Amino acid sequence: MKVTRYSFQLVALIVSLLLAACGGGSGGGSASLPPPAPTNVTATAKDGYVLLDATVASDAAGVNVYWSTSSGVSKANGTKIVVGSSPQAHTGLANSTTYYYVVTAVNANGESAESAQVSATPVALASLATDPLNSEQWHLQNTGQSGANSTGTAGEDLNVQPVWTGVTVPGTAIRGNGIRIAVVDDGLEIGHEDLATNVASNELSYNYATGSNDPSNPANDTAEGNGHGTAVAGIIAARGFNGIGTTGVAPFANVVGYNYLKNTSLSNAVDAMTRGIAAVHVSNNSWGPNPKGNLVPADSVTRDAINTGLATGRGGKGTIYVFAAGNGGPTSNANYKGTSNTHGTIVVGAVNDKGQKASYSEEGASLLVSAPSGEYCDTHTITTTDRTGNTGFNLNATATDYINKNYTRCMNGTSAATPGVSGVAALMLEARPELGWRDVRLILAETARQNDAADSGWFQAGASNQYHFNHKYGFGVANAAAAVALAKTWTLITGAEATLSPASVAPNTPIPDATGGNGNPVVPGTSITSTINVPSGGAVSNIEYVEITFNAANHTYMGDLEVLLTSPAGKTSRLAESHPCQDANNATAACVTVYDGWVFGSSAHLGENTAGSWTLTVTDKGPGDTGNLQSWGLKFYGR
Amino acid sequence: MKTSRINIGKTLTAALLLGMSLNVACAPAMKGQFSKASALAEAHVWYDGDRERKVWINPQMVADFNPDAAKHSKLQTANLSATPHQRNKHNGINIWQLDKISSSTSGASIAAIKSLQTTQPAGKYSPVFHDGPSNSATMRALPGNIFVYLNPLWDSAAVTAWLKSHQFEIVKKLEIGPNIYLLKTGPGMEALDTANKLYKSGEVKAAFPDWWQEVTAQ
Repeated sequence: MKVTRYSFQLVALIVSLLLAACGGGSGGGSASLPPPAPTNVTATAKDGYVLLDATVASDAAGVNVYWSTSSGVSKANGTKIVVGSSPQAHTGLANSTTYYYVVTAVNANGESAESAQVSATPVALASLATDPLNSEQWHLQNTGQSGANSTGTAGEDLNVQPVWTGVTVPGTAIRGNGIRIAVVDDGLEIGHEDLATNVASNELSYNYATGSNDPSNPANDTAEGNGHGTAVAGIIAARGFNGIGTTGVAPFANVVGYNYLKNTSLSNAVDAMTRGIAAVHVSNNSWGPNPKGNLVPADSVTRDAINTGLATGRGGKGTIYVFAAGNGGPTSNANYKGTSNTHGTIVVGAVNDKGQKASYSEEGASLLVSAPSGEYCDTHTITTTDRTGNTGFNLNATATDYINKNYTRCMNGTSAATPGVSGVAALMLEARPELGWRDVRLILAETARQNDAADSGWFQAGASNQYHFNHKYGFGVANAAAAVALAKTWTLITGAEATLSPASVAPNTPIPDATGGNGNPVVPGTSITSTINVPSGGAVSNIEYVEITFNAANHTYMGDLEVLLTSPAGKTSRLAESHPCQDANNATAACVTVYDGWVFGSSAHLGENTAGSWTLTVTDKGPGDTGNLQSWGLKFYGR
Repeated sequence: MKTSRINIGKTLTAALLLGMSLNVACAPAMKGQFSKASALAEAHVWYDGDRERKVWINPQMVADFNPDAAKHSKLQTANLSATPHQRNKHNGINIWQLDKISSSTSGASIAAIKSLQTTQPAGKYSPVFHDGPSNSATMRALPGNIFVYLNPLWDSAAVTAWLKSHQFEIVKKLEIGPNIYLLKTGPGMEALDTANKLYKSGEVKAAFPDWWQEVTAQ
């Protein structure tokens, strides 16, 4: 039975009801019976309240929640809360008290049996995070606070508080201790009052402009956006609980700065990806090309460097590479550039304070997760460290930013989302140092929170629909507490990553042109398809990533083409969309690159089996240019 | 990065990209077409591993890898009049727009840059290239030096002998695979030509320049 989804939000006791798609959740009931008991009930501790999630069938008209401060709560002994079809507010939970819950579903035929019991212990953030600007850091705890012109939605955050406070790992505060993150950026002010304690020993940072070990931007650096790296570093690891400034996602982690953006040669890129390879746990990369709809591949030597980090970093467990999806949305897609579609990297999109895609954030099948960033400073963006004094983002003349010029409220972009995930990865690695890079990817995907539930782009992913994926968000917003919790019990992947490359095909099929235009409605051309059959028993049966090599080099306008990959299980990756390209001034312009053996990447087939027919569908949606689907191929990564 | 509000609405009034001069008046362009004024005509091949790739030279731009205000006057005295280009992004490079150039062809700009390098040997100048046949495509330039992937089975003696025979100087040995080196060359076309010649010789597994590439904070 088709199961629908809707969500609820309560102030003190918050219940989100997730209704699984076909095959998931509790299935459905018959017309004359009560609905089945809810499943997948979870309780997440917050400051003074608890977030509850549950999956109910579509024939449920409402939900009852029964709670108690004693274990063994039931319909008979619990306090009942009726949750109808509209949000209800419950307030005043006591922090440090454990609350136990069971959930039932109701319809006209009666009430279901109770769900399994869950519990949570609210904790007070204020008692731990004493930094003055914490209340502004909605990406750490979104209570619905307001920015300049936007009010956030409570709960739309990285859910880090339980990790810091010994809730997620009972009795152990996880804050990034012992984890080193490389901030590959335009600099890092190693002496900043809220970063200095967390900056790793000086000799570990590097300045590509001067050759020194101090990547601080020079005093006379007034380039646009200078201070970007300092802001990124603060999101990751601004020292927490010190009564100063802000708090990073991993507030006790160490950072090193590699100011690659000050000298962007290939040799420096290689160095930045591999410097300190034994000791660097996470590499944060909030940079990339700006293709404006065109294609920009990662050069082979950069891929070689990343592959070296994956194979040998952290003593063989692999460096965790985190890259920004890019800010070229909606024109550009993360799959149009090599920095955001490279195998082995975690590609991060941005969401605003309501948990919806930031307008600029690039979509793509290569995304893994998203993280909070915000729209623009005149709405609600990220508070973090800024270069000290009258420089960086927050200048004396900037009346709309903090009076204290060592901090800014205006950090945004997928640049700001990416370090959120780097910080979460750092927390995961402190909790479970043995995690390999593949483990980190899988855990982040499995535990990501399904934000923006009403968006039609979500689909169930994986062989048994165990994941949810959306080209806007990847698997959802990174959930630190859930990721750290799963990391503690995770069964590590053993064995080397396997690959499977079935024979490519070269159909050389003309792609029918779209018609219309010049004032007439545009009618897409007839779609063409091509299939690759993958036999069972290959080296990869459980997919972790897919690369798709696509050749339509003789098509004279790549922006016309929509390219889809559909798996044997019926899951579809949207690899490319028809789109205009832009010039340097963001005016519509000709696309100047072609699909000449272009390699797309997709995370969307995670957990699927390779065996069966894989179908590529190509549609020309722009009239006036033609070409052929010349050839294409697949490469699966997994186990 | 701090993305500012930019109107990227999908208007159909396209501004032509000006390949020859940014002061040329724009005219609307149809999708898939761009005027000769925006197109870059001269492509150069390079080999990214075993994959042939192309870059298009921009005859009106010069890359200067010694960012120094004084060098601007040297550019001017070298019979070139240069002003900072709007895409001068400080990624370790100054990009100069050439206002006066004797010819619209890239050959003339390459010759001019070579002349500049001769008269200003302390400088490091390079043509500016794009990853597509338009100056809207991402930029590249050649600060000098090349990557070489030698036979992975060679021992150190074989590597040393090969380097000596070609009079190459090692800048750095890279630890991203066996026998991968960054070798010293001059900037500009010398780096590209040296790498291509090596690759085509069949003596190496791969050879390509140490490209400077245009990236931005996100």
